[in-house]
Amino acid sequence: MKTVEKSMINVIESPRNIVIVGGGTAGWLCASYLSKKLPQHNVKVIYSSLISPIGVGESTTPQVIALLDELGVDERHWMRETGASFKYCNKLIDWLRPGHTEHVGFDYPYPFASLPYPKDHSQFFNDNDSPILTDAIIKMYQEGTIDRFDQYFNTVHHYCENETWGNDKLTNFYVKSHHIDADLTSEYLKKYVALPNGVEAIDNEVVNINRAGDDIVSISLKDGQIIEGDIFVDATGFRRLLIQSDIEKLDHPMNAAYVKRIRYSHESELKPYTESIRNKYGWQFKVYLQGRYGSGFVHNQRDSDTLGAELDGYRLIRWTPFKSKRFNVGNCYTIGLSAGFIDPLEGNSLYITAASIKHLVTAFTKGNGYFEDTMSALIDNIYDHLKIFYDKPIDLKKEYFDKENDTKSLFSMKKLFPEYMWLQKAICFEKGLDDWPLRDGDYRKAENTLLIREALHKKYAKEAKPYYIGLQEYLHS
Amino acid sequence: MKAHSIDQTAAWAKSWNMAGYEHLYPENRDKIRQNAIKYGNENRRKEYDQRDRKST
Repeated sequence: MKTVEKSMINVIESPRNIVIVGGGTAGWLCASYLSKKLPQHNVKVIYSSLISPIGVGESTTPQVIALLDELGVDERHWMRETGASFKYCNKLIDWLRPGHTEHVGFDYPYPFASLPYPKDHSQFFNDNDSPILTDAIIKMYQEGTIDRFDQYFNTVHHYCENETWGNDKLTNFYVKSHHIDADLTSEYLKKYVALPNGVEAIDNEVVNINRAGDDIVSISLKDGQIIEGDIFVDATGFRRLLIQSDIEKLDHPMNAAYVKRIRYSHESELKPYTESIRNKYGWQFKVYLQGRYGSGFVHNQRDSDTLGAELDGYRLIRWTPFKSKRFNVGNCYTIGLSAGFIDPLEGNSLYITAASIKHLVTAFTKGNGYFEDTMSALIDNIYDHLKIFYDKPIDLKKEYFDKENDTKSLFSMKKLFPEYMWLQKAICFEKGLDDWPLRDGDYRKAENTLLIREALHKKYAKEAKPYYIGLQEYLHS
Repeated sequence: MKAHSIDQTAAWAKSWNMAGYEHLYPENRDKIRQNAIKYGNENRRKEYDQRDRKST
């Protein structure tokens, strides 16, 4: 055990040659992160400009934005250059029943003391030591005082309903997420982070991978170059060029999508949320960027012909929902789409990419077992979370409440969303609520807090400027 | 069954360096509570002062 730890510490301390294959978001995000966090290493990215990217516009989670923050990316500059926009939430439409909506945001509301709420807040709940706000929501829901989660717990609800600029008032302004153009963001990271930090970019095609046992020794390129390395990172997406591991096929109803980029007729069409709309074939996403939105019809391949006949100008992408059986073989690590992919719901694709990069760096000190364990648990967690959408039973007890609340374990980095967001899904989809352990306590103040907060944001959101105007003012201020 | 703990959410956010959840960090909670009490007391004192002035 000590030997393993020692060798891993050497990875951090002594300069190594790290070769990343793949020039998509995963490749350039990984190169940027490694070059910033571990500048002692030599990082090369092998990519082919002949391979066209598949992105139409992507929805992210706050973890991805936290990673960009760590890279020192200037938010306004990056958003202006790549056409990104803010994402206040994922708006679920027609999932439970036709006409039903739910805004799934990220915030855990701040106490009243830190907000522009009424000055005398002594009558409101202000104690963040217990999760009683979540319990109060369930109690009110069960008693019929309220009929939804988002309107009372999240503060994004009314800004999304009114499509108004909420950054000045939203309590989750700092818990932000974005809609991004993955291709332009890759280019941005390459130009402004990776290359200035010494990453070497090699535009060429891989023709052979030269191995010695489990390890990769070098990579032969089409022009005859041979690139040697100590550590290899497979960021080749579904092609999985480097990693020598089988995949575990996952039982999931969606495995194809028709995608298209659609320009706005007027900028006011820009919305501050991702739309995920259920339909008879599966679901449609709309990811709103500046100037255009990405539209995608996610479905099962058996319906591709029928659905395709209804759509004009859409491009078909097919995949097999999978999880890599191994994430590390010898000196090769797999990240991003090549590690696993199930369904684009909930912006989980870029989340897998961001998480795998963080885990890769941690594995340099904690060992390869860490990488295997966390990556495997991470994809299992996403798979479980997505089941909620497809009428499969969900076991909240298994996910959160039978486990030790051990915050020092690997627990938190394996989780796509924290428990209160599972609660939102449980209420939204009307399943799994009975498993939620209610605490004893006085709910009166917490209920007051939720109701007053809702009324205030309703007022603020109506008075706020339209979102598309607010965004432009923000980006050019 | 274990009850849910706000420490889970705090640890989740902290492990990612996600801004916006700092109010849930154990080290910040007591500070926030103390500030809230202080703030509430100050407001009440101002209210009483105003009432006193009006009555005199």
